[in-house]
Amino acid sequence: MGTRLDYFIIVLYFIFIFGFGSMFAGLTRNTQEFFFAGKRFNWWLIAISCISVTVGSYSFIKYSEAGYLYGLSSTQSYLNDWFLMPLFLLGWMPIIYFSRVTSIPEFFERRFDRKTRLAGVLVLMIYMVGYIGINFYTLGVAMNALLGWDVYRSAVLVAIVTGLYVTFGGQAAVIMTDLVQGLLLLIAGFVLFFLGIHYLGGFGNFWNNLPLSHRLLFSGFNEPADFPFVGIFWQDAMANSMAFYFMNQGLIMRFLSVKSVKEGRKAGFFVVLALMPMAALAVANAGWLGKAMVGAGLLPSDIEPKKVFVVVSNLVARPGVFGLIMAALTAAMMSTVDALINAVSAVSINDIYRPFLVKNRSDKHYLNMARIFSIGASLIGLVLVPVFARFETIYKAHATFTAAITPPMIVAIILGILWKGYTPLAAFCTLIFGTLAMFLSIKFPILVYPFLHGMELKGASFMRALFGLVVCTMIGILVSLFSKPRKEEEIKPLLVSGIEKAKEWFKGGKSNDQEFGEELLLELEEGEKSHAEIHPEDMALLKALSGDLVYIRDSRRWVLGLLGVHAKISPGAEKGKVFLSPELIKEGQLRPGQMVKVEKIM
Amino acid sequence: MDVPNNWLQIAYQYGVGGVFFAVTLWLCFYQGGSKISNPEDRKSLIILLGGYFGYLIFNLAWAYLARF
Repeated sequence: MGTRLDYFIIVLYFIFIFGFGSMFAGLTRNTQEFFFAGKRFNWWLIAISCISVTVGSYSFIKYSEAGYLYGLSSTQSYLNDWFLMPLFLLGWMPIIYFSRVTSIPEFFERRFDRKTRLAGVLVLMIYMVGYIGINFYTLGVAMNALLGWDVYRSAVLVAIVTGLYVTFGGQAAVIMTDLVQGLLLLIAGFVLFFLGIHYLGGFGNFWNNLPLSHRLLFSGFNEPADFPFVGIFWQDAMANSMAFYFMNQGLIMRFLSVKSVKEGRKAGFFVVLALMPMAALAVANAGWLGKAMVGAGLLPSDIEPKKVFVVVSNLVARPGVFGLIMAALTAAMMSTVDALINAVSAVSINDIYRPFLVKNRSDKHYLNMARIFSIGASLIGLVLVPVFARFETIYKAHATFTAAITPPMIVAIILGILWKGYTPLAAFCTLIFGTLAMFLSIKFPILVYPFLHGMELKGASFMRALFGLVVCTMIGILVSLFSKPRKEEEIKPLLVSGIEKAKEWFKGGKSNDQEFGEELLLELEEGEKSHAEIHPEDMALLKALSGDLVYIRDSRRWVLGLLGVHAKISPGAEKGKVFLSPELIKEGQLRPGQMVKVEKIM
Repeated sequence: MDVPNNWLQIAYQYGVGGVFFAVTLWLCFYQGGSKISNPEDRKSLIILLGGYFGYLIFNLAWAYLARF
C-alpha cells in the first residue's frame, strides 16, 4: 500500500513538523512561556489548535467505523458540546485565567486544600498519561493497517518527533504545530470526501445509496447497544466533553495562552459552532462513503467495519493523496499527544516537583526539569502501548478508560466553582470515593442498571458516566452538609460569583471592560517607566484609562501577534507613539522604532 | 416496520441538555460572574442563545429533510 511518492510525503511532513516546532524554542525562555506561551495568542490560532487536540489518531478509525455502521449519527459526539459552553466560557475559563491557576490540582489546593490537590494530581496524571498511551497505540495500529509498519516501532518514531519539539519549543511549538496539523487533518478529510463523492459519481449517488437510518444525525434512542443515542449523550457530551473542556490540562493550557478572555471566548464559540462540525465530517466520512459504495455495489457487503477507513482511503486516494491522508492521521495523533506531553510536564513541575520535591530554585532549573519531564511523559506513554493493546477494541479501551476517570473530577470542579458551601472534605471524598464507585461499577455493571434508559446491561459502559455524575454529586452534597466550608473571602476569586474580584486581582486594579475602542498602530520608543506611556488622545481612541491593561504587539502580519507584551498604561507626551521600558521591550521581543499594534485588554 | 426518525432524540438532547445549559447560564449571570450591563457578556449571551437555537433548528430541519 502506498507508493514511493506517499512515503516521501510522510517523511517530508515529519521533517517539516520537527523543524517548524523547534523554531519556537526562541519564544521559550522561562516556565511561564514553556507552559503558557506568555499569554500571546489570538483566538483563531487557539481555536484551530483546539481542534487538533480534539481529533486524535483514533478518531479517523473510530468514527469511520461508526460512520459505516450507523451513518451520519457518527457525528453526534462532535455536535453536542454547546450545552457546556455557558459554564465553560462564562465561568470556568475566566476563573482560571484571571486567578492565574496553572493546573487543575493547583485549583484544588487553592479552592479546597492540599490533600484534595494530591488526589487531583493522582487522578489527572492517570488520565493524561493513559491518554498519551492510547494515542501512541492507535497510531501504531493505523500505521500497521495502512503501511504494514510494526505497531510499536511506529509509536516510537512518532514519540521521538513529538517529544523532541515539545521539549525544545514548549507551548508555543505545540500551538503553532497544531495550527498546521489541525488544518492538515481537516483538509485531508475534505479531500477524501471529495474524492469519494467523485468515485461514486456525484453527491446524488452518495445520498441515494445511504439507507434512511444512515442519513439521520442521531442513532436509535436506546439501541443498538453499541451505539445508543442516550448513551452517547451521557458518555460523550456530558462526561467526556465536560472532561475535555474542564479538566483536560492540554486544552486548559491552550485557553490560558490567549491574550485575553475575550479572545478565549471567541475561540470557544468558533470551535463549537464551526470547527467541530467540520472535524466531524473530516473524521467520519470514510465510513459514510464505504456504506454508500456497498449500496452501489462498488464494495463487497462483508467489509470489516473497523477497516473501512483503510479500504476507502486506498480505493479513492491517488498516489500522493494517500501520503497526505497518512500525514493527516499522524498529524492528528501528534497534535493530541504534544499537548498532553506539555500538560503532563506542567503538572509534574507545578504540582509535584516545585511544591513538594525541590522548592525555591531558579526558574531556569524548573525550565530544564520541565524539558526532562516532557521526555519522561513520552517514554511512559510508550510503555503503556502494550497495556492498551490488550483491549478488545480501541473504542472500548478509550471509552472504558475515560468514562471511569472523569466524573469525579468534573463534579468536584463544577460544584467547586458554583457552590461556596462545597467543602474541602466533600471535594476529597468526591475524588476518592467517586473514583472507587466508578471502578466498582466496572466490576459490577448491575450498579448502573437504574440509569440504563431501557438499554440492555451491555450498554452499562455508556451509562456509567451518568451513574458517576449522579453518585459523585450525591457524595459532594451529602459530605458538604456535615462538614465545614472554607470562608468565602478566602476562595472568592475561584467562584463564579467572584469573577469580578478575580479580574481585579489579575489586573491589580478595578477592571474597565465596559467599552473597547479601536486597535492603534503606534511607533515604539524606549521609555523609562515600568509601564507603557501613551498620549491621552490615543488613550481615548483605545477607550482606556490610566492603569488599564493593554497588549502591545509586533504589527507585521506574518508574526501572527506572537511577539508582544502586556503592560499597564499611563498618559504619555507624544501622540502616535508608545513608550516602553527596555525590560518590557525585551520581554515582548520588540525593537525600538518599529510600528506596533496596541489594543486594550481590560 | 417503523420508519426511523429522530424526534425523541432531539427532544431529549435539547430538553435534558437544555436544562443544564439554561441552569448554568442563569447561574453565571445570577451569581454575578457575568453581567447584562457588560457589552461583552451581553454579546456572549446572545451568541450562546443563538447557538442553542441554531443547533436545534439545524437538527429539526435535518431530521425532516433526511427522508428525501
